[in-house]
Amino acid sequence: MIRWKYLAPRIVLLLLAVATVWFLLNPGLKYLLERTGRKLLSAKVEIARLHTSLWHTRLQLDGLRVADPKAPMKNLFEADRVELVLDPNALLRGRYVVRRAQVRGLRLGTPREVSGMVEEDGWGLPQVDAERLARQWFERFSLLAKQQIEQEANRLESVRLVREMAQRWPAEYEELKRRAEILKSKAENLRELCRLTPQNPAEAVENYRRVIDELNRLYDEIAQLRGQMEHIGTQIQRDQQALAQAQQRDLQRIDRLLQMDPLSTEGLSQLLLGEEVGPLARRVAGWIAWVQQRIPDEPASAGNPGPQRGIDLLFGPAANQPQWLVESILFDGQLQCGSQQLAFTAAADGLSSDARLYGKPVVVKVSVRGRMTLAAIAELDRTGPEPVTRITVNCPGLVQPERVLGKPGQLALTVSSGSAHLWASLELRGETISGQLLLQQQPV
Amino acid sequence: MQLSWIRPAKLVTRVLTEAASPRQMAWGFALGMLLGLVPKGNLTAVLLSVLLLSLNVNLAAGVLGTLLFSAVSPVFDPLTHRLGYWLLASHPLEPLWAGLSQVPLFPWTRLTNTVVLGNLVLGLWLFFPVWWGVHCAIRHGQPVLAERLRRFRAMQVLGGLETVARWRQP
Repeated sequence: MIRWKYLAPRIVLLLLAVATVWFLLNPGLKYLLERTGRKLLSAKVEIARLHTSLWHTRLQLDGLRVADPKAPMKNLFEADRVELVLDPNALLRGRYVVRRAQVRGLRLGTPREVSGMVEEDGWGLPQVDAERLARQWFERFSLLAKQQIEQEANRLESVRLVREMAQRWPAEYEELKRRAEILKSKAENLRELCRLTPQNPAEAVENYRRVIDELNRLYDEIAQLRGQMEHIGTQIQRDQQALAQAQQRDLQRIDRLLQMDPLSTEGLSQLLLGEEVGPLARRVAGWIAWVQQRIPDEPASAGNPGPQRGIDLLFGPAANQPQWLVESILFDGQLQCGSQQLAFTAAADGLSSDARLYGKPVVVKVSVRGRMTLAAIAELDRTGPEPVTRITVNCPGLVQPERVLGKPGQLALTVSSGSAHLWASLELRGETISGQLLLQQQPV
Repeated sequence: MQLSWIRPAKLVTRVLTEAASPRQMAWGFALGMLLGLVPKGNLTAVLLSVLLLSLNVNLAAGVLGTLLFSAVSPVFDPLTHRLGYWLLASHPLEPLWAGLSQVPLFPWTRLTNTVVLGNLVLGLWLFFPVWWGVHCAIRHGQPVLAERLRRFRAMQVLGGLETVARWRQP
């Protein structure tokens, strides 16, 4: 019943293919990853051991070391273990679902025994023209800065007033000049009329009557002109006053803008947390911002599905799986912050291309331990119509040096050294921010 | 001269003149019908192809059935879509589909596509009637037809026409 002549060679070929994959997949993939990494970074990428499981769609790299291309005797980073577990069924449906991603024992900038520089072998990436890129960046930056300055200048009241006057006053001057010219020509006409020698008494009477009429009209026009001149005089005074008031208001506005500077993120964290914890807080905030940037507010358009026969119905968890999803990603390792070596753990759950379809918010947890402890939890909710971000930061036992708030010699407050506890809970809903910030220090 | 009609005609002639048993021909045609109905490009179609090629059935009849039903299959799409949708959306079967969706490689079978499932079910439903019909037709009509085709040297004529058509092809 079975056609063995057809089936047997194919079974043998299939077994051979499976055996080849079984024996060559790990070394082949290791070679490929090391070579690709080397070409991309122009520095050595070393993997001590690589293990893949096709059945569980798991990739595990042990002892990953990536050299720093700018400092060959240092590592850009190294990790004890990198593990990636994908959802095989989602992958078969063309969706990328990472069940679990872990980077354990991550260390940055560690020293190397052997140089991480690689020899050029002909097919490296094209060299980047740094000068050209810098010039392009600077041109773009200067254009943007110019636009920004112009926008700010347009918002100033005095600038607007001066522009309006610059249009109005020349027109006013031209009008006065025109009327003066007309008066001058009329005066000339009158003089010519006076010089005329009449032929007879009747003509002389008629002449004098015309001269008197012309004189009366000229007097009226001169009076009008004088009135206009007086009006211009008062207008000049009003404009001067308006300009002075606008200048005053603009100066106050600029003062307010300049006063915002001490309340900038860096200034505030420096003031509250001191020089030691400030950079760490900024780095943690940077991680949260990095995650936030990678979550699309709106799901990507599915596009035109094109002609196809029938419709695909999805069942079980697959029904609400977005195009890509990272269910859980974890990093832990050591972090150098100033002179301190700190242990950190960072985890993010529920990163996806379509949070509404997935129906769960992204949760980022960062914890730093060492001479001080910092824990931050951020919940980035994009499931509703409005993006909502909730951030809670807890930093107990902050060692604070003595600080002076204000200007010494004027009004200033000296805060003595001590242990502080920082706790903050913030909620960003659309464009509004609300929450509580608590800094408690003993003794003050 | 068109190669497109010479080749199917040659295939039909070969099916009718081959010395295969009616049973093998019926099996080949019925399996070919099943394969022809199912949309291609999925694991279901691949498994059906492997089944057709692995079993000791008449391949010419199988290829004929596949070509014939591949051509008419899109005509049944509205019907098979509704049939597939009814099966996939029926509440009692939902746990079955949810469970099968978790089985590795199942998504590649595309059995959760309405037309694929509908066509497969339609093919399975038609399998025995087609097998029986072809079996009867071959058993009674094939010897007479084969004799006539052999007498008119139909295979040789069609072979010659194919050679001429190939030669004249630009």
